[in-house]
Amino acid sequence: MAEEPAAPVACPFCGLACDDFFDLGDDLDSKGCGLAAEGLAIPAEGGGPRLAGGAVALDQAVTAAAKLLRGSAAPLIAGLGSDVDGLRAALALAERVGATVDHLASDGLFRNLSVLRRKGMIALTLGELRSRCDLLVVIGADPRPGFPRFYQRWFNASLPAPIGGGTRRVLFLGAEPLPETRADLGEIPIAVVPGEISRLAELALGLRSLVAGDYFSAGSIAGVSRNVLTDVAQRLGAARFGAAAWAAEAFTFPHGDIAVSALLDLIRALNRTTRFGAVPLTGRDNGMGAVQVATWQTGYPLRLAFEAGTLRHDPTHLSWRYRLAQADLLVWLSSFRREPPPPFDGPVIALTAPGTAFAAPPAVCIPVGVPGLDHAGDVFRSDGVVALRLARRRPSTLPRAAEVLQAMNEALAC
Amino acid sequence: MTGWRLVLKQPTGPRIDMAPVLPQRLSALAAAEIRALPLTCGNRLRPLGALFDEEPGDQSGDGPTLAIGAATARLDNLGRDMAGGTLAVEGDTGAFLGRRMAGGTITVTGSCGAHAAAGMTGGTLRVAGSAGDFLGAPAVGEVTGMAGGLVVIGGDAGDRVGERLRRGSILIGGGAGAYCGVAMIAGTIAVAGICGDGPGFAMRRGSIILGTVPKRLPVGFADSGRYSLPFLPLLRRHLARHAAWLAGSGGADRWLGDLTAGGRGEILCLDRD
Amino acid sequence: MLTRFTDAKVFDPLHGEVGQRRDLWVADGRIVAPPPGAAAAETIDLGGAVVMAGAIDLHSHIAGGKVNLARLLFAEDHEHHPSCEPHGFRCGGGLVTPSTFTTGYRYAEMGYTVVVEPAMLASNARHAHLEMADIPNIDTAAYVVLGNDDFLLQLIADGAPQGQINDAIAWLVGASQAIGVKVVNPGGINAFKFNQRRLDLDEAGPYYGATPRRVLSALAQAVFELGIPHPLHVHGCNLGVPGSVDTSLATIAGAEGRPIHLTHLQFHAYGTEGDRKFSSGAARLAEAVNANPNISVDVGQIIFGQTITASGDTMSQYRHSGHAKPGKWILMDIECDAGCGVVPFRYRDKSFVNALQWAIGLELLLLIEDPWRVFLTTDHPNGGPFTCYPRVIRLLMDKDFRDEQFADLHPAARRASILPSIRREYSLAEIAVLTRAAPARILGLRDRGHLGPGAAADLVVYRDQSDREAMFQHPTAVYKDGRLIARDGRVVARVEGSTHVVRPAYDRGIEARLARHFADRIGLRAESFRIAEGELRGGRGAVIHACRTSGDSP
Repeated sequence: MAEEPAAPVACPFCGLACDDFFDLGDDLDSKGCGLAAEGLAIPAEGGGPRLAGGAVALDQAVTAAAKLLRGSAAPLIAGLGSDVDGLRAALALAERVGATVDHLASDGLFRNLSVLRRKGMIALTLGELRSRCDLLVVIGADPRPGFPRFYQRWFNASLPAPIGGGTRRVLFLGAEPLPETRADLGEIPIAVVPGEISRLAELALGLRSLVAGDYFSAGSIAGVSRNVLTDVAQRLGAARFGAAAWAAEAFTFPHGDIAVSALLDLIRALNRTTRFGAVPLTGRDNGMGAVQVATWQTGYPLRLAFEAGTLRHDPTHLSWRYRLAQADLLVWLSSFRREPPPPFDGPVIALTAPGTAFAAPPAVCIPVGVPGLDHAGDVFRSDGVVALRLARRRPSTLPRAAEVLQAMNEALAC
Repeated sequence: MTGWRLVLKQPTGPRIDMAPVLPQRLSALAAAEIRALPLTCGNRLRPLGALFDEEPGDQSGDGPTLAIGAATARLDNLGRDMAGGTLAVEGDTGAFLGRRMAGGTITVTGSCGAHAAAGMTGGTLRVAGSAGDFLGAPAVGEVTGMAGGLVVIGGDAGDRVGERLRRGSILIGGGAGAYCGVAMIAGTIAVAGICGDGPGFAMRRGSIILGTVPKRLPVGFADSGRYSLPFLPLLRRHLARHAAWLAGSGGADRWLGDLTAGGRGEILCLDRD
Repeated sequence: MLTRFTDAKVFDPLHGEVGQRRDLWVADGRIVAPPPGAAAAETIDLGGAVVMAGAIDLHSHIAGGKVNLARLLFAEDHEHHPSCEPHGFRCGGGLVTPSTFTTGYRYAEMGYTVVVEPAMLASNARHAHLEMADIPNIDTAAYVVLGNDDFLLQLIADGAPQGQINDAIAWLVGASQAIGVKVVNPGGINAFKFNQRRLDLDEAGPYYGATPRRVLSALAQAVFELGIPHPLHVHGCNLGVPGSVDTSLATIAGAEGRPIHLTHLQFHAYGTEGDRKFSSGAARLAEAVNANPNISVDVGQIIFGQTITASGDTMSQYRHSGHAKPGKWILMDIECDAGCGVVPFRYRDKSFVNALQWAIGLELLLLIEDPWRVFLTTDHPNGGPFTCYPRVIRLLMDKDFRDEQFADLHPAARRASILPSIRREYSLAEIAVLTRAAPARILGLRDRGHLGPGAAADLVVYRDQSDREAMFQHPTAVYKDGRLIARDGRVVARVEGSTHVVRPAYDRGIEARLARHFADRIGLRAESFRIAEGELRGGRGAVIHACRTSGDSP
């Protein structure tokens, strides 16, 4: 393999994939980001592979895993936190053994995806948000905890003015911003419209009809008075290049995808007279990468199963939570975080970041390297457009998840 | 011979894809051929004979018939792409019952799982028990839900009944879950019992007939007064042939919406007779 | 290992061979001269079968963000067209949005061995390359889309000297690992971000004030001066708009002799005559192409049936979103760089407009005289899936078949087309030019598209049949770099392809300004954006093709 450049490199610990963490020759520095700090604290040493708690060599662990996989009638490969190569290897293994494949954070991903696939989407990337957007509308709970440097890097008063001029404004719809967010934003004018976020779907459609000039009679929606709504609709329509950001993972009220669908209706109505787009904030544990790789290899964005030489996709019945009850073997992949597998009634093959604490020792446990710390790799950013290269940042003997999965695949081939 | 009866051997185990098992297809096959029919069971192919015992079924009907005995929620895709004949299920079914069904009749003595009648364009689907979520709703990526035919559920139905319904009727003898008739485009949904949150949300056209006054309607519905046109008794008489609870001559309160979606559908709350 | 193919009926237009019967020798994946006295380890008797070099598709959307969005949006395509391959080949599916493995296999089965993704966004280039690495059995390359990015538009607005524009473009081509440069609706995608809904060739765009003509000429000049073999690949203004033929004619005139390639010209060849204000501009355009040797074109033939359109041209995709069928569509503004729009569409032979579009594509292919300057594409998947190429080849080679198909069209479209009066039928030799020799030449792939010594042993063996569709659909054998990969139209081996790139030279003085742009506007470092050689094809790197130096002729 050709020489990798030493710098710069991206941070893999949330969907923003910031590339300003590490300077050439510097020590690792989390720049005040809690998620990065957590990731950087993962040790480079994992105590080696174990079978039911007992230490073994890697090839023994791989052989044992292959044996379990061969005997399984309904294996589930989940977690799926890995770089592009790890995802490729997971899909190849899934095809060989006839497994169901899903990602840890797919509930949030599918709230957006189900709408995108049924109606479409109008979206923009983080770079457009940073350099063109004059009105950011943050929908629902402040996404800062899951995307700590969202405002710092993509929307605040210290950035160069938007292309073509204009003043940045921000509107929080549904919930108050966090105090840290106010600090991040600086001098940007902030408006807050609190409301009942579980009724976001109604709120968004109400705004849509105000924007489109359709009649409806209600005096308030989701705790927001009609006057306030009318004012919000006017602000939205007055934006030159607006962005609506939401973290669908937080839409945990029932049928969150219906809220996303209503938001799309609102955005479409706005685009009749101005420009407006969605900024879906997703993609922790390279979830966006998992969607991309699964889609280009199979046509389906996760929640897919290889069964008896066929490929099946079913967002309802092939989600990992649903399949846990039906699977007879769980392969759990989490290379960005020390995320233990969920409680499961059967053998577990765990490929996890070193130092993961398990409730019970998995049948096979293989600590794997963290992409971006222990080895190079590729991850996708939240917007799904920009993929970033991760580099190896420290000496490590941990195997890559891709290598381990490929070794299992090869062990099954003979 | 016009029919077979297949009896499921094991009530539990990996899910079985029943898509290849259709009345018209099986009526043309001999017993040995049926036993050899490959079915996807979990992640492998199994011959039908390993999963079911087969016996001659109902010989009285004029069309091809197929009965499934001892059925359980293991059985997915029953009646998928069915174009004619009769499929009689004794017991429960799994997901996607009557997927893209275009004709014929399916009856289920028990309950069915999620996504029944997805993509259905014709025929009749009757479930004596209850139905899971997404009854008559679009399958993944599809822009419309059920586009024709009749669905009659004896018990309750889950969330999102008739989502984006395009045409046809869904009649529910019990209650329905949240977002009944969400974004429906046309067609008729009738629910005898109580509806969950958001009935008719974002609906464009079509009718939702409710036998029980719902807790709350979405904000985009406007009270449009009493519905007393002669069409209603006619509709009720027509639908009551399939679901007796719809019989009666009373009028209804009418709500128009969902205005926030630019819709002009209606929700009719029937008078208590 | 030395392999001898005996009794091949060779069509190799680059070397003037039009059906000569001879032997071919292959060693280590390359064609070699007949080695005097050497014995072949293997001899394959072709029994007089037609042999051509591997076919090359210079414009097919096979990888990258918008293609993957199209797969996502068009879930039905995958449910209806599953593709389970022989064991170990990996499954997939899709007809108009095929997954990566399926893409490679279906192309290889038709004898295509090189395919160019024509709209790689610089900001999405890493994704495109990761995806291309998962396409087996064919080589790939990509044009990077420029000319709507805020960086180049600012340079143009600032009146920067051409040399600086050249340096920036060279940097972007290298950083994104491209083989050429494409411009899509020059300045229009950028204008759409400022809420402008239409931009004509000589209309100043918002904010930067650059006209599409100015953007085009800056880019065409840069590509020429940098010596990039493939001329600027131009998706012009006003795609799909009646009257676009005038824009296309003006674009040809505006090239002022500089080489440019006009892509999917069919979509830009509409007049405004007739009752329906929609007419064929093919004859006028073909005349202009015939008269201007600096112009090459590909057609973007439409195929009746369901497809999906995926384009960087957000302005036109938004305009057409109302025609989406099924009714769902995606629009994205991307990274101060570009955009993308994905709109499913169904072409119907009973629709006047669609029927005339079909006829216009064929009129262009038949009226443009020089097969070295016109290329067969469907702009996959925008006009239809690439798997329909054999049918289009038959339409070109078989006048009776063409007339038969024409008879089914909407009657008003038949009256509006001159297609039945065109008697031309392509010969096999011309098809070999159109699908092999010419695309290799215009891409600068010197070791592809011909069968001379030193060429890659991408060989396609056909049974000479009067049904040309059947002949080109199922070649009897396809070899990639000397390895048999498909037999009788079915894939029999899975091999890795290569990625082809160019690396134009530039003055590194531009890097400071680029770095500033990335830091200020993109919020990433320029170095994060640059794709290292070692990232390509799982670390195997790229095949680098030479740029012209000043002494070479274009």
